[in-house]
Amino acid sequence: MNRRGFLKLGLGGSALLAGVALVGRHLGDYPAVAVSLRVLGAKEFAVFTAAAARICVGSTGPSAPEIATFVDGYLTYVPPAVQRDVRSLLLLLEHSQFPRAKFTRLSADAQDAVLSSWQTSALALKRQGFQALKTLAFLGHYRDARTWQTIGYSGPMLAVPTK
Amino acid sequence: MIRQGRDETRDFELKCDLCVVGSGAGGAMVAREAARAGLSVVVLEEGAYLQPKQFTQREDEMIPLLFQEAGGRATHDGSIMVLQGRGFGGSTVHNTNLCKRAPSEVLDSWRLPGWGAADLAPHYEVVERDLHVSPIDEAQVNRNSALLRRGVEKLGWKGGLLSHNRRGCVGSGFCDLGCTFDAKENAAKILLPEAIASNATVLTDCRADRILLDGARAVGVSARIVNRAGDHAGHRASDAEVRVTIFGAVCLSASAIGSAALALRSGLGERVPATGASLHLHPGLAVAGVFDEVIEGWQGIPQSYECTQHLRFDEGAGDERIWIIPAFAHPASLASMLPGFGAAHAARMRDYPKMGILAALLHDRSSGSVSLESDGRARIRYQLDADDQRTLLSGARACAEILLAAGAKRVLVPFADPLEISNRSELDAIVQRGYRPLDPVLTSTHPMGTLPLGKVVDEQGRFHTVSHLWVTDGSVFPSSLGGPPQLTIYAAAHKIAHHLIAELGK
Repeated sequence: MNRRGFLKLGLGGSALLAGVALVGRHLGDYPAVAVSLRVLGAKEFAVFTAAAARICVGSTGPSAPEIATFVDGYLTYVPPAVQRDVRSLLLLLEHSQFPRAKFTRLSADAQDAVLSSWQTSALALKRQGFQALKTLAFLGHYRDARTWQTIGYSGPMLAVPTK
Repeated sequence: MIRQGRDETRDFELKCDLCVVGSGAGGAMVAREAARAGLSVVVLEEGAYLQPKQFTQREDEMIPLLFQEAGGRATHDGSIMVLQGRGFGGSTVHNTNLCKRAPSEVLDSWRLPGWGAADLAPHYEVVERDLHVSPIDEAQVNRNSALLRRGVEKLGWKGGLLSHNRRGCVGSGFCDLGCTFDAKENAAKILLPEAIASNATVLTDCRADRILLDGARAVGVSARIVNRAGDHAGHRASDAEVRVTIFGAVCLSASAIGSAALALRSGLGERVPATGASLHLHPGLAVAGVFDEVIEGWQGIPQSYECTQHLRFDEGAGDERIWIIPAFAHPASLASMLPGFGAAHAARMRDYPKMGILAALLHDRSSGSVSLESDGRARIRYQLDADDQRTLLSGARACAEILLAAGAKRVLVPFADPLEISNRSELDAIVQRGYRPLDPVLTSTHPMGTLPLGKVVDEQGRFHTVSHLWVTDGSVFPSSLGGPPQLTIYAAAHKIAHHLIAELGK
């Protein structure tokens, strides 16, 4: 059974994210990205990279920036309204500890604690946000053939095997 | 002919007797029957025309091409992923070919003249013959399905082999990403080519925006080309507009979600307030077991065995409304389903070849609705009521019991705070945890309802209050079927097609 899906928000959730996006989009300096981004901005790219690094830690495969680059391209397939929600979600994650440190500045353990708290949060919006990040990060991670040997996956079978 | 919209750069108009919106099971069937009867037919399909050699068996490449919203369609709160197809052949391209007639108890419960089991039987027979439906051969039961069978037999529960529409299957196991070996006897391989051979036109990469009305009569469809060559953004429309003018009828066959959304965009909700209501999702919850033996559940024919121990269709069924089937997934999809993240999750993924996965699908009594987002997309509202929540968790409990009986060393239930079980005495914890949205995440591959017979369309498939408008997809079912709907969608479309053809004088 497949589990995909990115982000669907109730009206309140969308309004909250829109507010976060309005306030948060221009806060802070983030490194320029070497690749040409199609959906995410540099700040959102940095936040997703940080989250993907923690979500996929422990499994050999693509780097977190590689995952984020793939996800930026993948998001071109989703409707513009969903793209906006994903971008706003990343800004919410970055500033979720306000006024304490931004997510990208936290230690790895502290980032794990934030992600764990979102995973089991009483707020559906945070659980939903966690699931969206996880789905996208793992799609970017496990699409990569470098991960397949680790998990014993044989990959595509494009020709009929000889008997 | 197949006309690929991505090659079109200018506005154009088509004229025909019948315009069918959607090329999945319902649309392909009505298109074939109408074309064979001599009607000029145009089928509008939002997705692309892909040939088997283009199915690369990679999740990252096929999901955005074969699934609505790149696999991201979900209920309004994200709690249920709604996986629906797009492209030439619709969901019949990515489904696992399960073919099962609707239970007579369900059909009879509709109390609709012409829709009893005996009434539908001749239509099922046509579909089963034309799509070569047959029971899976014993030798082709894959290991994930075999462990379901082993557990069911050890518990002394009810189960059996399933029938599929496939021929020449090599057992690659990539059915959910399109069949590279063209072994699916589906809308894309059988029905649409037969419609085209009878002079139908299928226009791909073309999204229907509105049904054109002249008073209370459908007169055509306004549509738009999407996904032109060089533009990989599947939801970015080009400037090219398409107008289809009909001499006969418009037929909605874009699924329980898509057809309802199109009807609403066309203002039909004001004419028939029940439009978009009565949505059933037949939601499923997957449970994984880790075994000592190698299963490699991604290989072989998926979903070839079922457990019906807890599946009843009578009014007093209570929590006996669960259909259990094997449910494996390729790595990225499985990873998003397994609980947790980071190192603990990576450790679980290393058990991938030794995992068996089952899903409990709920014959739901809860119902939801389709309305519109501000950008015109479908907004799916659906919440499980308390009875259905408990019933679905009891289904997960049954899955866990089967997995343990089959020899699983431990069972993973994908709550947000993961639940691992290693012996039967712990099974009650699954129901005791309770359900809340996204905890665990559910999946729907069988949306039904939204334009139900008797309420929104008449018993022959005509839309109430609007003439020359018909519906032939899963949206016409007044309830969940409690099983895979594709065979019944084909059969219902076959039945409705002949009413439509008769009305158009052919």
